[in-house]
Amino acid sequence: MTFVIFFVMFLFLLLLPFLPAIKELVRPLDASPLSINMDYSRDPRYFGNSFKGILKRALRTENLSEGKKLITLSKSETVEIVSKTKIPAGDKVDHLMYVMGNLISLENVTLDKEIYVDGKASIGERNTLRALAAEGKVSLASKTTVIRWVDAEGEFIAARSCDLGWSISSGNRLKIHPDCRFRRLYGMPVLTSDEGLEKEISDKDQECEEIGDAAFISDKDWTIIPPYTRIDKTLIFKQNLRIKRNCVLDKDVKTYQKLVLEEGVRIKGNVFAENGITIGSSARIFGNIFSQESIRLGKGSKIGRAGATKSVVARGGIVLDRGVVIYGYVVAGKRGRVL
Amino acid sequence: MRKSQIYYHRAHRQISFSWKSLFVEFFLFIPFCWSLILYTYPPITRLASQFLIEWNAPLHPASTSSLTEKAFVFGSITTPQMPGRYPAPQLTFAVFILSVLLIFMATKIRIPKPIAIWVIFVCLVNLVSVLFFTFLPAFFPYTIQHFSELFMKTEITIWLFVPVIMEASLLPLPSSKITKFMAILFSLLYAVAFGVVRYVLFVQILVRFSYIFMAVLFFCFGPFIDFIVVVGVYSFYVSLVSKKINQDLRVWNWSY
Amino acid sequence: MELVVLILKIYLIFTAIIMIVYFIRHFIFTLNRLTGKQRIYYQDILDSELPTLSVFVPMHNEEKVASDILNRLIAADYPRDKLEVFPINDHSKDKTKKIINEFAKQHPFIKPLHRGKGKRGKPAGLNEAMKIATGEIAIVFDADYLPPKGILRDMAIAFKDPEVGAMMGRVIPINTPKNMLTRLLDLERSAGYQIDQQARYNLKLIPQYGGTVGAFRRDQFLTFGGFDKNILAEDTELTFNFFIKGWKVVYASRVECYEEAPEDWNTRARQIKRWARGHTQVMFRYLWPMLRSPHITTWEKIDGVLLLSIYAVPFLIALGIAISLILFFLGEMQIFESLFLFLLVIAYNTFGNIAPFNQLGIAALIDGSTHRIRLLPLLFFVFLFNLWSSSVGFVNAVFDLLFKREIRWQKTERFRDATGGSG
Repeated sequence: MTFVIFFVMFLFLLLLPFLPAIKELVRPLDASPLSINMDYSRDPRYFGNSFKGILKRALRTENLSEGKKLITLSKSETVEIVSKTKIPAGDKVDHLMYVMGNLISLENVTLDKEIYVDGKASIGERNTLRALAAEGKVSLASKTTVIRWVDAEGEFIAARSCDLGWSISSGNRLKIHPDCRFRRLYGMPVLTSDEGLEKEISDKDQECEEIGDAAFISDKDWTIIPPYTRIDKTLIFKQNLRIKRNCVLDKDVKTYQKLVLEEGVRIKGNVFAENGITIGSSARIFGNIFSQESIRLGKGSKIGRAGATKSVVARGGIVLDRGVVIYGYVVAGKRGRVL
Repeated sequence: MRKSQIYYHRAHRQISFSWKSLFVEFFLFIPFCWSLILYTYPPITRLASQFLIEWNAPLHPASTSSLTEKAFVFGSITTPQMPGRYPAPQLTFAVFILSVLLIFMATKIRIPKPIAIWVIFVCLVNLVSVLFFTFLPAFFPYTIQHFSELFMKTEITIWLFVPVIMEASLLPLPSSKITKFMAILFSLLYAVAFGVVRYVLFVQILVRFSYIFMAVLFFCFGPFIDFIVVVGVYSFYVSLVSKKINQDLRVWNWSY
Repeated sequence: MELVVLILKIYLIFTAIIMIVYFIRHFIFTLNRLTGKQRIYYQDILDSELPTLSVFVPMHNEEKVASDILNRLIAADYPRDKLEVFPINDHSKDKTKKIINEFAKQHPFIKPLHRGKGKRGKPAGLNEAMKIATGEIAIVFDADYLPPKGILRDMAIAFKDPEVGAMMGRVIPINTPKNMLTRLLDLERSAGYQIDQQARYNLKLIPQYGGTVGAFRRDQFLTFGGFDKNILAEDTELTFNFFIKGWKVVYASRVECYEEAPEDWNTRARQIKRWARGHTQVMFRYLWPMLRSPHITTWEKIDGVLLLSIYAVPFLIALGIAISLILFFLGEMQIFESLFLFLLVIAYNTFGNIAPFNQLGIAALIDGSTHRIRLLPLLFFVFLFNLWSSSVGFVNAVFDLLFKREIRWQKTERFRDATGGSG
């Protein structure tokens, strides 16, 4: 009998750790495959496009009339349909809006839910705006805070000291003024204010001398490429790399450490670095810029070219000086800011 | 205003980690558990061995049984000294036939392959034992006392490992220190209980039935299965932590 | 006799040390993935000037799944003028050829390659197709895979980095709910990709190109002379070829694709044996060149050794268990020997075939899974199965080397029901 008791105890203690597993196997609560969105394809204007699509399907926008309607998006929502509107100062709007014309909001307005504007949107000072999609131009006055995103089919302009939330995208130009903060920007192009800058840099190469590896200057930590030199091959360095002013690189450059491009440097290919990238004033990069740390773009630097999308992507922060032009996409893993 | 966070894809999830936590947990939990084991294992082995001797008193009178104490880590283990059973030729032959039959059936009958391989493994160990007791029975190196010492020393060392493995596995989880400690303590106590029950049962099998099963008991049901406790407690705990986290995604940082 | 016993004991100590090294390695990976600095992949680079792609889909008797993947590739978001798709009909006896031809008739960018002569097998088929392809970047999908719409862009963009020779995405089983095997494989895949590959990418070690949901530079691949038709793990071979020549392989956790995991144990055993054999073949051929390569860092070399040796470990453990049994009957099983046995076993049990139990748990946690984590104890039943299958594969590779044997490719069985036809 004692033997049987011990044997049963042994079996019990042996099998007990398996019980939750057996239960989950027999009556599964978490057995479905991890979800993959099969229709997902990278779209810098995803938020706006997705919202417009969902809203228009829910509203069936062929014959809209003004008034409030109850629709189902991810849950039941009230949407106010107006032909155009001017929101008084200090007002708070806590429902979705569908503006069939233009939207103006005065100062200190809070727009707590998503807004769709079929025309232009002019957002006043110190507004707080959750999300907005517009078919026309969008302008944000100073000190406006975007909580999530704004997408404009037309031009987008943000005045000084705006907090631009998670994503700002435009089907046209996107211009942001000093002291704005951002995460993602998309425009053709993305511009920072060029007040005080003298001239736009040209796409034409300056005169320089073609050199080989032997001309590089190296010490323990840095490799330096002398100024006014041209290199016709892809460069990959394990050290910090400094490319002196007015050099021309015809291909890609990559470094495992920091990368510093001085003023007037031109790179026809892509720029990659494991550490920070600092790009001097009036630099001209025709390809993408990618850093596992941070990126700083100097005054008047120009990335990409008209008619082609390129990107500036950093795992860390991105700092944009005045007069920067980027044809395409800017992604700051931490925060981006405009000087 | 509703939440401003846009939650990234699972590819970018991360947790904050505190080296202070590491220090606290490793240098608090583990020494406590070790102290507990080192303090309690001598009386545990003594009680288990005394129980075995008393249980087998009708079969083996006091004159043939005794307790032996041997020094071990910061203490001593007590093991019983009593006669075990060598297998009779009939038993040896029966075990041989049964093992061969089971191996044959495991390869022929449609059972899940992992189960089949386990059955074959157990039977192969039995077959090695059968061969040994057929040709070299006089050279069998173990008595009950030797086996007890080997088994208990292994178990005690495993008990000392359990909190280390559990702590290393639970360390990065975003959950409270108290619940982590409770999980470690529970797995340790479970391991001790499981170890003692197995010990008593195995010795009893060797005393009442035969030494021929010693290899199987040690190799297939000994240290082999100790990790089940660790993985069982760990998996249950992590599933609870995961359920809690999924209700509040703010626990996650975003690597990007 | 004493010498023999001493050698056996030293072997146990040696194997236990190896297990501890792997345990530490996987612990570091787990900690790094969950709490360390993550290196980002290139998916956020938007570039309108994309490279030309050649997508290869090797097919041998794939009538059950062929339509699905071809339909997915037709729906892919990639400029048609920069894309060509090569379904490689490799000695099929079923309706694979008919299905492929129907698709090719309607979509000019689908260019079938029908192979009826020559050596059968994935490497041989890919070699032939690579020579007629024109794309800068080669992408390979196994026939049972289901690529999402935007995956080709996300894979191609990695090659803007001039150092990237190959990239690998993440594989997710679609048939998870089927049975215990698929559920455990789902956990294993999670750990292998979410933790292991990502940590190796973070720590700048050797993320592995996995042979499917992966891409590489086609012209560079051709300079290697193509895949060796006698190596069963052409993916591992390619990984080390690239690293030895100074390129990098990158891992993209965000780039996900569904696959079909084996649904029965025999299929799974054959899969493990093939991987173990192929991987070990690569170890024999590339270990020394890897160690000698001036392009590989010291840490990459260390990781490379551990990666290449991974299928030798189950064999070492199996031998260790056998040696423990011998020592037991010799009366030489003292506390230390039994402890080493425990370490071997627990380390492999925790280590598993691909990943330790805590790595599986953390991976599932990061993925947002809950109750499936409770399945981990069932790994216990799979321990000997994995040990046996891997050891058989390893021993086969040793015999391949010793006796210069020719390899015959065995296709993995498919379980999906056939779906509709072209686009």
